[in-house]
Amino acid sequence: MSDISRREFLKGLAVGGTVGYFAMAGVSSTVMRNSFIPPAKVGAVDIGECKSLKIKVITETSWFNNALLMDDMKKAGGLLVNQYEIPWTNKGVTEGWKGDNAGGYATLVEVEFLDGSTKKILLDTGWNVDWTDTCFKREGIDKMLANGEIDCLFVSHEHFDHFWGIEATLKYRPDIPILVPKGFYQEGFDLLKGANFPKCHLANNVPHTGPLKVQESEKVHKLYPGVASITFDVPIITRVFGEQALVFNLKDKGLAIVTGCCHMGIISLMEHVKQTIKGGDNFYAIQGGLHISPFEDWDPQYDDLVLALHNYGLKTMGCNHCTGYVTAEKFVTIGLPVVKGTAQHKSKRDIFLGNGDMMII
Amino acid sequence: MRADKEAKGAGFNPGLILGLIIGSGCFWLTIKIVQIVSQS
Repeated sequence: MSDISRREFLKGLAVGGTVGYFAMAGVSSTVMRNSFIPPAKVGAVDIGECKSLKIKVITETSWFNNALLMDDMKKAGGLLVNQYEIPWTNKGVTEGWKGDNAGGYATLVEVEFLDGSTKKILLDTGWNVDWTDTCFKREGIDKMLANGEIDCLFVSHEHFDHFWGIEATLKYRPDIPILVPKGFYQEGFDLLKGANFPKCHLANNVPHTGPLKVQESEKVHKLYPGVASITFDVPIITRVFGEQALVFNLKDKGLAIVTGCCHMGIISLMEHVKQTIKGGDNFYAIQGGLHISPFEDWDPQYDDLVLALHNYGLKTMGCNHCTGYVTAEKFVTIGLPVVKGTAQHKSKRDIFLGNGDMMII
Repeated sequence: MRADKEAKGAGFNPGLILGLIIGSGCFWLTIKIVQIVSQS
């Protein structure tokens, strides 16, 4: 071994130290990643398993004219104004339903369990009672409600386009079990009892006589084997609070999420499900309104959101309503497995799972 | 003189190896400290 001067030794030490530091940085973020970064916490709540889902979009056309809706809110004082205080335009709208800008959102989810039995969940009940009733009749929901085939009404949140068409459901089944998220305001409960709100052109003439359950936040509500709901404490525009979503654990496939509007944010929802529910590291599908560009506006930060969604390895997805066509196009561009619709019954584009369309998982 | 330089250059520098180990260890320690601080 040749003699080495102290100077050379120290030089070697410095060079080696620097190279070693950065080499370890590179190795730790690639081949040794799992040693350095602990795996993300995965949920432990076992909600059981179910076999399959049939998701029928009854109506995703919450309103017919975006600009008019925005104008209504602006004239009333902005996005923080109580929705029950806004005189929504209900006349003279050319592309509306009989001149009314109001439409509504409602979806029927049929769950098949492992033993072959099924249950039907009505997710939301629209806005315009006449429009919602027309859509119900088109899809046979009216008969299902009257026959008691639909097990419950799951109201995602108190927004006008998801809840105010309640009379359309109650007229066929006044005693249907109803699940609402924590955060409903008194007006919402009064509406269920049969109150009218003339200022916002809202009425329910069929009081609810069945069980009503308020789903608390910060817990997983097991509804049926393989079916659960989660409620989020989230403030929403027009003085609404709280939203809940449905989670299904499909045997041999993974988790499927069905939402109304997803005001809590789709990534927040998926991360919460991942960290809470067993099987959360394996998402299979999402369906519903994803609230990213509801008014077709785009912010570059949404590109990150689209990329993040891509990382979950979804096998199928259906989006509509407040997702935004711009967002849906970005989903398709990035290669997300978007199920196309048929653009009928007043749904405008086939990039959405639209009115009358079905998704089978 | 050139031969001396060549002889020295061909020699093994234990400082380099030690530096690599210390450098790697320092990075590992950095990550661990960050993890502990972020979890507290």
